[in-house]
Amino acid sequence: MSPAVLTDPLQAPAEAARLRMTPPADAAERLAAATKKKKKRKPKKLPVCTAKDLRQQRAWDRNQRLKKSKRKKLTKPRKCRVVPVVPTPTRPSPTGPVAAPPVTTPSPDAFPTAPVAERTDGLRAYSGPFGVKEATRLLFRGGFGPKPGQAQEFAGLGLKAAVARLINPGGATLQGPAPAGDFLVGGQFAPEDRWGHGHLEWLDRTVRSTDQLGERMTLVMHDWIAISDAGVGARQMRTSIQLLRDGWRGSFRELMMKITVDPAMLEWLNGLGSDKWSPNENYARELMELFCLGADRGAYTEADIREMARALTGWRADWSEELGLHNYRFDARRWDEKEKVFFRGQPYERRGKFNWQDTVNAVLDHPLHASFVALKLWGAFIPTPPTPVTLDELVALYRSSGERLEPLVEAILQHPDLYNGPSVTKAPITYVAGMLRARGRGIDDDSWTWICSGAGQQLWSPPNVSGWNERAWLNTTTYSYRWYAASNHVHAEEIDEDSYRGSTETPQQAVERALAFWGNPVITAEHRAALDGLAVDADATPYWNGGEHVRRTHRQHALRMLVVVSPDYQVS
Amino acid sequence: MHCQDYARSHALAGAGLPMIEPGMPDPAGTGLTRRSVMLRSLGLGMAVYGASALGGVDQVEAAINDALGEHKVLVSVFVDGGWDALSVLAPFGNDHRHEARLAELRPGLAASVARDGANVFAADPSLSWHPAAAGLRDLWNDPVLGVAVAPAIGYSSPNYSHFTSRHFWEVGALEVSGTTGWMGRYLDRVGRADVPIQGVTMGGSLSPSLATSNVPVAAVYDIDAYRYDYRGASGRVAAAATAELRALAAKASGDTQRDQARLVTGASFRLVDDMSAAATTAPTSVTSYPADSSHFIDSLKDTARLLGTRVSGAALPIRCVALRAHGGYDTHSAQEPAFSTNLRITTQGIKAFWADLTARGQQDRVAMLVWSEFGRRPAENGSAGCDHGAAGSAFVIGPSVRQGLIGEFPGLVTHGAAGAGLMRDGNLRATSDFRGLYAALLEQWLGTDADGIVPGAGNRPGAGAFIRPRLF
Repeated sequence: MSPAVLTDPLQAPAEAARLRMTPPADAAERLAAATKKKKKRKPKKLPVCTAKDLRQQRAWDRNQRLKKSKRKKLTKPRKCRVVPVVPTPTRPSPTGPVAAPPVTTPSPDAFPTAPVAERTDGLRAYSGPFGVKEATRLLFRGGFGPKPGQAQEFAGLGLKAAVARLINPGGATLQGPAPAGDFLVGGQFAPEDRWGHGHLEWLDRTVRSTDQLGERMTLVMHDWIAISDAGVGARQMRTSIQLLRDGWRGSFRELMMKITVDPAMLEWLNGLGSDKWSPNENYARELMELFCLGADRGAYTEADIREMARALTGWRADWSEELGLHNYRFDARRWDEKEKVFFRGQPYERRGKFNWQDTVNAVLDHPLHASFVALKLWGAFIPTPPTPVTLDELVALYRSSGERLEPLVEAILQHPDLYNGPSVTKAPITYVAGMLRARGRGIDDDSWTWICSGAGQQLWSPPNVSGWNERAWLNTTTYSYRWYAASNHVHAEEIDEDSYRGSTETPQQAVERALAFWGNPVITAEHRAALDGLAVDADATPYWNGGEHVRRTHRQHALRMLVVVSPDYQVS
Repeated sequence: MHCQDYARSHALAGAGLPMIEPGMPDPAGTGLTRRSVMLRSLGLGMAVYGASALGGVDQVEAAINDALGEHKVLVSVFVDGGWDALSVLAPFGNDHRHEARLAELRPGLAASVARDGANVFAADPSLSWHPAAAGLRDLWNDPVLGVAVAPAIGYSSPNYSHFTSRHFWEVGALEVSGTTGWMGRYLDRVGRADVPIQGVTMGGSLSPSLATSNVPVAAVYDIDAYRYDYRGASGRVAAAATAELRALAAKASGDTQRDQARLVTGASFRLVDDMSAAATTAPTSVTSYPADSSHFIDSLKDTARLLGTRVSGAALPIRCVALRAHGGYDTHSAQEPAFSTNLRITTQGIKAFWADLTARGQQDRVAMLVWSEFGRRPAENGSAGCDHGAAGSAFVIGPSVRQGLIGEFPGLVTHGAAGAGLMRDGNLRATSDFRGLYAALLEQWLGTDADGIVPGAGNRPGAGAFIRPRLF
């Protein structure tokens, strides 16, 4: 079967062709304008290096590389801060790029530059009926599914107020049953000590947090800028996820600055140990390919990766038995202070003695960055690609909003394509958290770690730096783990057969009881017909396992399974 | 689209064969064994094509084998992360220029491949097997098995992204937008709409090489654990529930991802039949495998069991199997000793798998491809590792395989000099193209035209056709 059902807009051929665009005509101007506005760097603690400092430093470095016996006696150079000689370009003004007439008929060759004063055609809001079905879809895409009654409540709010409630939930609190079970340590998760607890702690938040969109977006970012505990210690992992949770609502540029030197990232993509003598290309490559610009769009070359790898050098940490890696810091002596050229031959080429911040700025100033972000974010919520007009307006919105993701998410959650378009397969976390929310159940079992892992998504453990493959959640193995997840709930509330003695439950009553068990979800007509079919069928033939009450008990258990293991329930 | 096909095949099956009610265990409910079902379908095929189309005895036998499921099988082992081809087969041997260059490029890592006469690679004595690749070396020396070695395989204008390069290998083309795998397209051509096990990934996520556009394929992590039980329901009620699910799964809604979920649900229940057959009839391996805890080793054992499974005399209709080698090979830092450990478990596992297949008498219908998305940079970096490179190595193994080289080792001479093996960016130049290898496997092993499966395979020689090595 083809896993390629969720069209990745970055991979769709038409889009790929469209996005392999020439840079904007005004890129050079914008760069020049941006360069003029260079803020003066203020040294924080260290004095700025003088030419003498640098000479001494170079001599010291050379000396250090010699064999001990051959080293000269030199005075250790004082610590100082290296300031690039060439002015570093800074971000464009937050009010957006150079004004241009509003885009009405976008040419496939033009790069979108227009700031759009008000939302026009491309970002119009869905205006069709907003009932329980639509509210359910919103809650599954922008969160982890409705709690019982929540879809009705959101439907009552109407689309705009419902989206606004997700965007601004009025603070994040945890509501619902607290974690319980003997797997806890002193009644708490122990994410830094026990395997799987990082997953459980976060799963608890997806189930109980009142900031559903915040947890959804943290997961979107974890999938986008994917760090795995396979290569990073639990303490650093946890701090790193919190960085995403705290940072996604702010400027993406600030977030990327923090991520670039985040201890987990420095460890994960070999920022540690990358020095001017042997720069490591790992982070430079993924910064452009996966995080900010996208592969195969003609945005950068292998030479850019090598140049940026040099600029990103200089980070180090200490290691000790009791602390592990600690004291992460920039060490100017290890940084390659020579000139680098980014995007050579392009109108937006820049040249200078760049450091890590300059690298992040150069990548985010790239003309293809904003459209990458817009497509990446769109693809996290909607399976069909945006129209060119919609993409242009998302790009403009990103630029005019100070490079924040939140306004884009708001526009996407209101977009007609989300409600009129096709279903999306629920990610394993969404499926599992969604059932827990529907049941009003807290984390009282640590099985959710292996179940989610088998279903294809263990939090903190994406398969690699490109995150999970959202186009291939379902296969014959992962389906079997969804079955285990459903079984867990049915087993946890197994019905006493005696309670069905003397029962006159009709097939329809049986189906309604099973649906109520799951908070009365919206289901398709064909799914409902399958439940009705089972309820009737189970009455039709003699049952060798016992009397009527046994048959009715078994029927209820099987119906409860059928509500959530049905293929139609796997999508929303 | 594919779901309509899937549903239609059910309808067609219903027209020609005794209708098997959805949910009934497949052959049991009709009183037919799998073999007789297969033979009936073969009978229909013969009626359609007539005797003239089935000329010789060989063809009839091939057709019967086909109906009994004894297809030729291709087992793909993906080495994840880009393995260091220059360590697997290191340029240590009778060519001192290679060695001197390697010492320059890899002052730290070169030492990990100790000189040992027993490891010299017979087909090119300027190369030596890594000590941890002894499993492959032993297969090379095996008198029965053949091993074809590509010491520098890749493609022109190499891409250094794991994901893009791996994607090229998976889709069998240099196309970023491809969505079906090269083995998937083979299955689309020869496979059936009701047999998910024809393409099976031994693991939790489906190999993209096996992604099809209209026939089902399967992924299975552990054949003994594969089943769908109901808690607190059994007998007639459980059977009715499964029947409802299977009936729902066979419908098409027109909503792509919902239909995809339905296809997977239907395939999952179908797969239960095959897995329970394997779990109950195929003995566990009697030959010995490495004792390391490794899902790769477990999945090799499961693959051998699946290939050895017989249901009423018929083999499971497996055509392609995808496995992932032990460990990760993206060795940007501290390449050793992790690389050696992973390489040892992977190659010893492969060696043990062939012994297992041979013990089960299944080896003759199997060929194995071992591949990675690229090799690593000839020059080591400052973290005692190597960054992404260009040409990597690949191996084709099997009793029918012609022993030898697929392309030569290009050497390590710097770009620009005579006989340069390195490209301008310092990476190893490819001397064979993976698409030519695929075309050879399709045509010489699987017996189907590569044109239409590997884009460009139909080009005339001299007009961009890939060089196909003689593998079989």
